[in-house]
Amino acid sequence: MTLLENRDQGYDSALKVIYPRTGGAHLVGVTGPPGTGKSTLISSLVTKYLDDGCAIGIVVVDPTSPVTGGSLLGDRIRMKRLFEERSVFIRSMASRGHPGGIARATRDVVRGMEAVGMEKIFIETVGAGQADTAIADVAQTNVLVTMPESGDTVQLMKAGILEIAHIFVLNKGDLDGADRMEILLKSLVDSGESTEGWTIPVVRTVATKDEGVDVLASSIDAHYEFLRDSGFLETVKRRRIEQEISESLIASLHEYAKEKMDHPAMSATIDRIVARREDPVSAAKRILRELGLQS
Amino acid sequence: MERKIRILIAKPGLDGHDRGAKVVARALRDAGMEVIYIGIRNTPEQIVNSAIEEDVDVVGLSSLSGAHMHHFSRVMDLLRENDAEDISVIGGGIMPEEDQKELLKRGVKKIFGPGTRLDEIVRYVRELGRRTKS
Ligand SMILES: Nc1nc2c(ncn2[C@@H]2O[C@H](COP(=O)(O)OP(=O)(O)OP(=O)(O)O)[C@@H](O)[C@H]2O)c(=O)[nH]1
Ligand SMILES: [Mg+2]
Repeated sequence: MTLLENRDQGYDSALKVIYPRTGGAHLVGVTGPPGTGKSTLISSLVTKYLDDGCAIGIVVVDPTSPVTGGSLLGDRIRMKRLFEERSVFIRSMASRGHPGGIARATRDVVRGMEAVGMEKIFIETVGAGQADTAIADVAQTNVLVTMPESGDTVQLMKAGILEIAHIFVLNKGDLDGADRMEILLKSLVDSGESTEGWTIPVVRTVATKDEGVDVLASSIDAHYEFLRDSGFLETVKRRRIEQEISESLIASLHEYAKEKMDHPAMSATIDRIVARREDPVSAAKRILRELGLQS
Repeated sequence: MERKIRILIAKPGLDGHDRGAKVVARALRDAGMEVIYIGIRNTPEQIVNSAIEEDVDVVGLSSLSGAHMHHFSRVMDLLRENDAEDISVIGGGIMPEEDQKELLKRGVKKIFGPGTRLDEIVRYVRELGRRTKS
């Protein structure tokens, strides 16, 4: 798992080995503003799924400090009741500063979990802005967790989190203002278009008391069923593979370009361009032609 | 890129204060490490399971109660039973000299007494992490 996360030596062959055993799990993203109860909710949900005999993976992502490069990963502490469950695997990840990179590393850690037989995998991220929609790309069902009086939620809606969410959760339903927030959320759902034939449910929960969690689990399962029956699951999978091939290709080309620039022969090309006997775009095209990539 | 050191900080036993553990956790984070903090009242089983799932390099145990001998030793045993002896264990807290000696004999790498400077702990963990990585 660490090897997959760090892309250490041996990553390529490890991926090749596990890949045939991946792709079968239901990937559930859980996002929302800080402190809305995401970790507590996952813990409660997973306890519920365990009763059904499911093997569950949990990936929790916390931000890395851009200044020190360190991070304090404090989600696991909310999941103590799961620590000794044999069929639960919890892995904390730090974002390590790359919005795209975290999506990539998360995807690979998720694969590691699929390979060891996890059937449902929850991915918790802090929904603080745009960077987080990248992580939501990894999941198939995205759950947005909010709480009463959360001004952040309104911000998030503006930032476009709304578009990626399939289920709204109003957690801390025991607090003042929950009724008002519930009405607000419901009106948001009603005013928005139901994307692709799925109507976003609003589920009110009290994670600390395991209340409403049954309903939430049913909604999550219903969304998965919807994805499967409608054929969207297949479409989403194909689109992501496409995206991944493209990312990998770009990374390799990037690497190639760097090597090429460091090559001594490049300075002759640069001399020519400095002397205005060639232009940079033509030079790049010539290199591509040499590679057989441009006719 | 230099590999990140991952460390689990936990407090076994029943005493409920974790101010010291939190201060150390923050210092390690500020030193650029990935710190998984699981707070107080953890059983040795919970600690070892977490350490293995998180694939940490180091486990830091804090203990102020008298039960450190039992908890620390049990953590060492469980790590061994799970083939996870490559994870280093360090401890912090107040304990008699002879207990410290005994724990070091059982494989705990180091015990930091009260009043240890934070930068000393940071330096030690960094060194430990570097050694296990290579
Ligand atoms: N009153 C009330 N408190 C709750 C509920 N769910 C969670 N909490 C509390 O809210 C606090 C934050 O819970 P977490 O589960 O850590 O929230 P989170 O969204 O994972 O937080 P971050 O990962 O830091 O963004 C904790 O003190 C929980 O006990 C709830 O339904 N009602
Ligand atoms: Mg959390």
